[in-house]
Amino acid sequence: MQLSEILERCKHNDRRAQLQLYRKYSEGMYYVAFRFLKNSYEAEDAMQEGFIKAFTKMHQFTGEVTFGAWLKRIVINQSIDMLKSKKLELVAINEQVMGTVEEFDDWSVGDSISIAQIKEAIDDLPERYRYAVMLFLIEGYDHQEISEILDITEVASRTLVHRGKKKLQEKLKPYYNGTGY
Amino acid sequence: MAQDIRELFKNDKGIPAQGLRSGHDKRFESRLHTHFGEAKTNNGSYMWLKIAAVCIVIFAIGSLFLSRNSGFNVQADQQNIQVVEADAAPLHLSDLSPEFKKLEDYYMASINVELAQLDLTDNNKELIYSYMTQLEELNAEYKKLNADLVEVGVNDQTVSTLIDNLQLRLTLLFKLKDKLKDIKQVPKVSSQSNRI
Repeated sequence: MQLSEILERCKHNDRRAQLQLYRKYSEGMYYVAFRFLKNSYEAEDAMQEGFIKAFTKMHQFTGEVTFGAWLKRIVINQSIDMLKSKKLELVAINEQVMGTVEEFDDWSVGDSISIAQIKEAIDDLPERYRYAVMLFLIEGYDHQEISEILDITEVASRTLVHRGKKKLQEKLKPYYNGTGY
Repeated sequence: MAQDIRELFKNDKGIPAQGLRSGHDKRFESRLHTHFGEAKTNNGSYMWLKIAAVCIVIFAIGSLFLSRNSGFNVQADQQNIQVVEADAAPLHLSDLSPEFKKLEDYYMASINVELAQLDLTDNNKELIYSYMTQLEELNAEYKKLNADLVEVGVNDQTVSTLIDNLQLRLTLLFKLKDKLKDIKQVPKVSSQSNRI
């Protein structure tokens, strides 16, 4: 069956189509939730709740983005909500950060550093930087989208990502092998 | 040369070590259940229509066996919407394959359910008729395909076209339903704005 047809049926609350969609996307969406929640029980919960939410507001899906991207956004929102309920404090910093364009755009790290090391360093970041950096780097959202997801201003998003990056690069410095910088 | 973290992540295909716990799909099914209740049984009147539609289908299939050679149309309701029924061609694929028969019956039932739900009014008469014309064309096509089946014999292409044909009918009906919903909402909005 075509995806468009499955979606059409989901709009009419067709149970089989819903399960078909679940089978197709559950794994990917689980990994998205897992990256934030770091716990397989909570990640499953967030992922499934995300699906339920998606099915209830299926009529809002207009097809401007792909269904996968739409669903992912819902799952991420759900994960962030769960983090927030665990008293995550996303302090909104609205102060302007001084810095040049190059500085904002400099995401370089040393040659010898592996992606696993970077992920580890991200996990070590203070929470309020961590999620902004993850949304930017791993999930590939821009600052406008991040500001919506985290409910902060765009300036705050820029600031969080920028500072997070600085901290990340500091953390990774010991691994440098004389290359880079 | 230093590497760019953004590039690294773009090419990263790694997944977390802890996969989904087994049985997650069962848990989701029960979750769906508690959230949406029984699928498609939101109100009693709907249930009635469903039963009626199933009866129509059973009747249709029954008469198909009784009168193999004569075409027929079943009246769906008092508004004279004709149920578009796969006709009794001399040879029917559903006679050959029980699996296809199941598939065909399923689609026919779904189509008839949708048809029975249509609410014909002066406002939407034209829209419904235009869709009915399309459905009739599809029906004619279906008959032709069945005739092909007799001439050429069973082949993949014809069978998949037959199934596509049925799917297309159902999709058309879904679209019609959405349009009817839109039409219903528009007069409400305009009458409100008139009042203001």
